[in-house]
Amino acid sequence: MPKPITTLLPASPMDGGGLRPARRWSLAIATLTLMITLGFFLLVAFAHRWLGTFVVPGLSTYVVTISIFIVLCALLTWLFDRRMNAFERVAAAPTPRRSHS
Amino acid sequence: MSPPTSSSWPGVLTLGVLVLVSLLLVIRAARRTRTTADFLVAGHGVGTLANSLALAGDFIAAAGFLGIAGLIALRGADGMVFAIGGIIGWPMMLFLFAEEIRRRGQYTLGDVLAGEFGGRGVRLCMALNNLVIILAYLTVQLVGGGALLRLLFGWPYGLCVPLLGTVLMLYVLFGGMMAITWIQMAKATLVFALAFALLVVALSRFGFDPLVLLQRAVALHGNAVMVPGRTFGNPWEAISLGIALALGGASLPHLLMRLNTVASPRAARRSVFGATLMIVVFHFIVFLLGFSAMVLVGPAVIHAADAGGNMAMPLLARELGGAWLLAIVAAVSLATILAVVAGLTISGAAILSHDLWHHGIRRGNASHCEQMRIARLATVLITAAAVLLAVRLQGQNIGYLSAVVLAIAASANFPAVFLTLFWRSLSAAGTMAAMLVGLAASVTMIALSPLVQIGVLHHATAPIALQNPGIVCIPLAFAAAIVVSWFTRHSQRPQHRPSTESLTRISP
Repeated sequence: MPKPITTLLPASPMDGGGLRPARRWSLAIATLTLMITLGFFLLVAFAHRWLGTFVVPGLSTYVVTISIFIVLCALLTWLFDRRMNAFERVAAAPTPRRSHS
Repeated sequence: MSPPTSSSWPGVLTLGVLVLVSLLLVIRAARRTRTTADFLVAGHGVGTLANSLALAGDFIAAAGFLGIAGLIALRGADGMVFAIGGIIGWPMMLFLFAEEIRRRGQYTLGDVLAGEFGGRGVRLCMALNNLVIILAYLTVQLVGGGALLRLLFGWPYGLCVPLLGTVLMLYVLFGGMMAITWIQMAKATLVFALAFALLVVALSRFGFDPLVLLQRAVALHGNAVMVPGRTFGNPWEAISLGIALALGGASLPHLLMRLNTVASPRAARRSVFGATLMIVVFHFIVFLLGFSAMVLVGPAVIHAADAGGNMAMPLLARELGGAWLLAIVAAVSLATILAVVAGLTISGAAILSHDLWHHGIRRGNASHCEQMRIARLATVLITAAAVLLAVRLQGQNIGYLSAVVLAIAASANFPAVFLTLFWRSLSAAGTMAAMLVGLAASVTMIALSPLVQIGVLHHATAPIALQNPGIVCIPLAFAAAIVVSWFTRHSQRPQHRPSTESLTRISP
């Protein structure tokens, strides 16, 4: 069972300082994905010579890059889902009561 | 080998069985459709896995199954770039929108924005945007469907498109969202099974080694099919396409509306996650099928059957299994198109009846019966408009046309929805500015692009060289939202708006 994520939890239930941690996480991973996508399309646009080389006969660097990119997207999606599940588990856990003795 | 044009009874039989099964599902669903919520969002009662399949089915449309395979068969690995854009839209939707849209939405995207800002302005702007996007996407699907029906039966294209329109109207008018969800699930399963079966048969010709297939493609058509540059003469075109596909895929209204068919935000997230994985696997299969068509059928034959390359998959099926397999693939493709256009049509009907009629004209006073009546009338109107447009666009590649629609969605919808969810200082006027500027700029640039000026209007040149306007229109829409929000900052949203709720809150 994965450990609950505690470092990104809000300091207070209201977390008035800005976006909530899960939303910050969503935004961060979306930005990363967009950057990777832009990087890929920049490669397609400007790195013709490198992408035109062949790793093995019949299999170009271009095709390998496309495949890696798609697998990377699937991995990021999986990572995001796991992280969100962890957030939900932590939120669902009962708050420990403080002793007043 | 000449493209088949005469009608064939295997095709009639297969298509007849599929349409009959679909209509049975429609009749069954019609009995369970009583309220507006049942008709438009299946009563929010669709399960997570069912919605994953339906979402994947909504996306694996003619563009994915026919268009991308055709682009790969004609242009090589460059065609896969279009698929990448489609794939990347799904993680973006998952990360940014899935839970939030379901948490705030009732039926449409208009509900999400109106819930934040109040008033009718933002709702009507969003309705206008989404109607344009849905109509354009619907038209693209009908172009593919018409070409396929012509290939299957040899009927004139001008007859095939209205015929498809009639069947899709039957689906939507009687079954509503529940019927469409069932049809999408059945269709997605069928398409996956068929694509996998085709791949196995195709790879059997190459010793079940994909590398041998790719080597054969290079041997027959040269290294150019494996390297970039055959599609994008201008590097900015590639970047523009990439941005438009990534952000447009995440903001297609019919997909976002489907998030409201599940019970909770968590279910919405899980269903988008499932759909993303299915779509990734599907596109790997399409990639290999596209190259199989290139090697086994040949670009010249594919181009002769349809200038846009949309018939690569059916022709590959004929090469692999004769008339029967061609009939099955064509019939399943048609069923795919019908299911997708039905989903698009019901989204358009929801916008017209719920956003424009109920909230816009009747100011929230329309009864459920009245909304249902308007939704059904809207179905007829939207279908008629799309049929007329589709007849004009014969011969265009649907994968490419879809990319243009995604550029409109990325410009008109993405900035407004994203900033609404993630930027507290956005004002209602800023949101409207983003939507209107994004829509106007993208539609104008597309109208002046070579796609319309040369491809449709047959002019010698086009005023704008850029085929895909995303790189200009998306930043423009963001800038409009930020500038207008700054000037209207006195009317910013109250801080207690629902968007401050935490994602960590347990969903109902």
